Amino acid sequence: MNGHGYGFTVDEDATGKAYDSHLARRLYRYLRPYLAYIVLGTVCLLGSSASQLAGPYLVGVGIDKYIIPGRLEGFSTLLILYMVVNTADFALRFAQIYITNYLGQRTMFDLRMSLFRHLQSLSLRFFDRNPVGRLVTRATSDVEVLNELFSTGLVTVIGDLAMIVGIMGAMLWLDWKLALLTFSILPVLLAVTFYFRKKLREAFRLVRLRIARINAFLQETLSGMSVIQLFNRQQRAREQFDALNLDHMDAHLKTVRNYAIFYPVMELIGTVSLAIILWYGGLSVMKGTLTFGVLVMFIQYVAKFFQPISDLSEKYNIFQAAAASSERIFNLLDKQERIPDPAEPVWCDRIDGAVQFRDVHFAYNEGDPVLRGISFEAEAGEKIAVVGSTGAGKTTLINLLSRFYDPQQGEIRIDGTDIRNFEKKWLRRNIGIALQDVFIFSGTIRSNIALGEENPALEKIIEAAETIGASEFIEKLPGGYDHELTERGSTLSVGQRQLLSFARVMYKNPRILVLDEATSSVDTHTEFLIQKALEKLIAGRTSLVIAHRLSTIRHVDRIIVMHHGKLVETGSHEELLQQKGIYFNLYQLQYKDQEAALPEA
Amino acid sequence: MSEPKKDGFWKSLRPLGPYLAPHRQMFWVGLACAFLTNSLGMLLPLAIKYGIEAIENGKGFRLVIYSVIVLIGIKFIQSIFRYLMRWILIGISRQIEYKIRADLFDHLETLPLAFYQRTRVGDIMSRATNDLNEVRMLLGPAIMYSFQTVVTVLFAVPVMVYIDLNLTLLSFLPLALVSLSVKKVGKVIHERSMEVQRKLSDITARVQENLAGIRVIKSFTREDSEIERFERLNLEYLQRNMHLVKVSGVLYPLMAYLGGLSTLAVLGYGGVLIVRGSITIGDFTAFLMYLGMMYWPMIAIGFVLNVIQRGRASLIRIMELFKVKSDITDPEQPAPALDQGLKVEGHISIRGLSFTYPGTSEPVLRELDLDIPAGSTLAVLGPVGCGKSTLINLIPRLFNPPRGSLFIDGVDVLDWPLAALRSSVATVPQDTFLFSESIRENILYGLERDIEEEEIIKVVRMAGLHEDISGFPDKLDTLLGERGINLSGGQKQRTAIGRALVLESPILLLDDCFSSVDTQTEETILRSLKDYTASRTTLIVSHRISTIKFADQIVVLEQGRITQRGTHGQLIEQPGYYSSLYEKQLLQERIERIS
Repeated sequence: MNGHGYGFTVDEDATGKAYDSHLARRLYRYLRPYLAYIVLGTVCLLGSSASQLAGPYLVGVGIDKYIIPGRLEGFSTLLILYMVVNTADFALRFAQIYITNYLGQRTMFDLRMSLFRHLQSLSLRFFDRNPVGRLVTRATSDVEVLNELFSTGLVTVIGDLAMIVGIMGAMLWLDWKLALLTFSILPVLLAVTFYFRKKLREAFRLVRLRIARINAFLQETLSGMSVIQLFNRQQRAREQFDALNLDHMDAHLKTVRNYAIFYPVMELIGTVSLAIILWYGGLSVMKGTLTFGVLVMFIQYVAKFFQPISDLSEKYNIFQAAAASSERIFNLLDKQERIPDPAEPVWCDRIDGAVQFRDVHFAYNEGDPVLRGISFEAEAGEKIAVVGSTGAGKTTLINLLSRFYDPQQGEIRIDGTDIRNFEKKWLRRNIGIALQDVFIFSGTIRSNIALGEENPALEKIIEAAETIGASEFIEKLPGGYDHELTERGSTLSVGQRQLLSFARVMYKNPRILVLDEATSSVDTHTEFLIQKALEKLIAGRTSLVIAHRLSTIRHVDRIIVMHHGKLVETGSHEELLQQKGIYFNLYQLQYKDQEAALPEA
Repeated sequence: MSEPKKDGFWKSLRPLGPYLAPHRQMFWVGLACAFLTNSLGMLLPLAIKYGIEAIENGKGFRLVIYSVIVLIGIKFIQSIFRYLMRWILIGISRQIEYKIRADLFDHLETLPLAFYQRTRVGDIMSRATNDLNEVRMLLGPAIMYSFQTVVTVLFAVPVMVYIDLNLTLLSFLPLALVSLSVKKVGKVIHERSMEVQRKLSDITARVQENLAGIRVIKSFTREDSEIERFERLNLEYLQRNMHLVKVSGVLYPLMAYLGGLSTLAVLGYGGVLIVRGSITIGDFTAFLMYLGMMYWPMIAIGFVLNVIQRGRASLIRIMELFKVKSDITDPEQPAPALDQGLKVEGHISIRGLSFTYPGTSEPVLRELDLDIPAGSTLAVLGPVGCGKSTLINLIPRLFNPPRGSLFIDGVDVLDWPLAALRSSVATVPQDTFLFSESIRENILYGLERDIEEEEIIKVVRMAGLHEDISGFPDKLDTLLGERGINLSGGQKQRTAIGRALVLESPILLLDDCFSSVDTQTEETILRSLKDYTASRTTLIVSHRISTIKFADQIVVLEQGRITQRGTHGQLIEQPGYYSSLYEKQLLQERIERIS
């Protein structure tokens, strides 16, 4: 990132439906392999619910059968039973949490993998249009949101429902009159819970939105602080920030106030239900129609009523956020911008490497042509330099030859076959590319040369590095070939990166070489090393070099000159100089200075 | 996370004092409410005890009704105080969070460019959000819950002991384990979730890198091995998560389990006591209720201890930011010549200016001598890294030049009040930075007065933006950035030029601000700027001869020294950097013309 003005990157907040049958079916496909875990988790959960119901029951039985009659024989058995139930509850709860989390993690794993796999298959055109940052969010944050759905959402909903039904059933079974009377507070309880949950949901949505705004604003202002200071705008920025900061506080205060009412009201309802049980139940006990133990059971059951209802109301948030995230994820998975592979690819063991461009037209954006009818031929093993001023379309040649893009008109052939008839991977395996801006992956030197190949042979890597002349600097690095490179290779100099990218191509050893020389200047010694390396690299290969070095254009068989998307001149260095055309001028501009530095060729 | 030393406990919390002070009264009111609601709560089990004893003894239902009414009455009053407690105490913590964040922002605005060059924005942001939130937890929930715990323990324990000492001891044993496990397990959970977070950022970095290098990956057909690498990382992330679940999944069941043990103790031993006749069933029920009331405060102890620990560490990190002081400040005594209402002429003189960036040893500028008369134009030319931008940055004091080396209207820039200095200098920086607001707001960014529409249009025309803007859906009011349009590099630069021009300052600094603008547009802009710059002191940094050939004086800067100076006519006659660049650019123009 380069510090330009960024917008408020507030992620669109979840406002979608909490349930969408189409989305649900697609998500189910990811769950299906783990159905066994769902079943097992649910079983554990039901078991734990049952033991939670058993606890109060045992206390009640203890009071009725042993304590009130004053009979203590057998009481210890009951206590042991209570202990067993309590322990079982602990084990089952933990098992359920572990299993459902595992389920969630596995599903996330699969989803993340299919996203990543999908991204690897999309064409460069897609990446031109979609900022990397957004794609990264899909594969990380959005997937994370779904995790909550799978690990705490789905299964626990079943558990909460089971708990509510269980408690109601137990109460009805113990004393249906008292049970029905107790249920009379249910509508109030539900109404209050859902009312406040809705308010809290709104409030939290505001909080998230406003914290995102604060973050976006901070990100922008801190990046552009010198502009603020130069233009004396501190006061204005302060006022803007204050407004956002105040909004943020207000949103939080809303949640504080809602909670401050919600909790006490819930407790009050709890107390009312307790009072109802005490009053009616107490009278029944005195009349002898109810035992004391059952009264105590009721008191305990009603206390357990509140948690699952409150939990259930919270689940709505999870479902809603998950629906929004999965929609974004599936949208990405549905993108099909690919460079197609042929239905019946042409196969051959080895290519000679003759390259032919035939009237190739291409535009990245419609109406803005970059190549306007390019035709040329490179025989197998021929070395061609491509020269031209910036924007002439040189790099586009590389992009088309590797099928990063397909031309709108015309065709490109290798050994006489249209490259669209080859499998992309096969084609690219036969073309080696070294780009100006060398992209270094985080990892070792070794893995950067072999580029991710499984178990690369060290000898082969060393051989490639030695041929290129990169071994000298590599061996001086701490750890040598196992030296860890940081992101973007910031520890390497420009020249070293260049050599590393040459070693990559050498290791790959393709028939066709495409090279975009770096323009940046390096010291004389490195320059010498690079020249040597280049000679080694292009030997025996069909080479297409976008040349920035005089030494390079002197080493090739032929030069082609591009200008505004057309091929305007072609020939050897001397021939072209004599024409006194574009090449002559380009030569004066770009290469003549290097003459002094060049050892006599 | 750094483990703060024990002896510095109160000292490290001291910075919070001034923030709490204005809320002192409300804070006490909040604590009083906390006291009332919790002490009233202690009466509830007693009401139930009497109710149940009435049932037990069959003393008729009047007593039962009374106790039920008392129960609801107490709860109602308690609820009101509970509401007030939360609203006041948590509310105060939110207000303090707001204030600290506002102060932090004010402070950040005073810090110099040097600070922002060495500090990552992400780091500052994480202090202003995550760390601040930890501190807020310390001020709000931590204080509220610890006070509640103290009150509950203070009231409930004596009553429970009064019912039966041994029963109290027995049932408290598992509860003590609850606090301990929340404290211990909570800490492990925090550590492990940090590990999970780190792995998640690894994954993010991996995807980021993969997508940024997708071209290389495709050309070396490494998609499959990238997928494998990602799969390994993804698997590690899964394992980290499960590693966390092993402890986080235990905490809640464990708390329930220990709670169950407590109940078991009361049931077993309490049952025996009832049978022996030493306590009533009412006592028994009341005891169970008190135990239930103790349950949450016991959890809170463990929770609060962790919050305090984290909050302190976060507070220390925030205070580190406050301790950074700017060295670019207003002079203690502004130069007497700068009385109010003075018109700035814009005469810049540079005398023996050398400059070395703080923390480095190699000087960037070496003994520069320059006199730029008011209203004249100076052009600076030179290879990358020669010190051109540094020179520009010193004039509005983004960095401090050494005393006695840089003067505007005869006054050392160090003696100018900062705001006065910067409002006499309009800068177009090299890195174009625009805000995600409308184009209009960006152009008017530095302007304090109101402006006529025609004036804006005039500026937009001068900056060569007029045609671009008429193509935008909302013209001048088109939004920039993610929510609006993304300008091209050249359009951004021209917007930044407009932002400087509109100020009509006596000094105009243009730091390589045509680099993304094509030559033709540049020439058009320069032509329309002629009248504008005629009356202003102008400094232009550029790589293109065409930009600067009209300047009154041109200097070539190489490795921090002036190697050539003169007018265009004089310089093309001398061999050197200037004339060779000139030749190259002539060639370039020639090539461009062929087609």
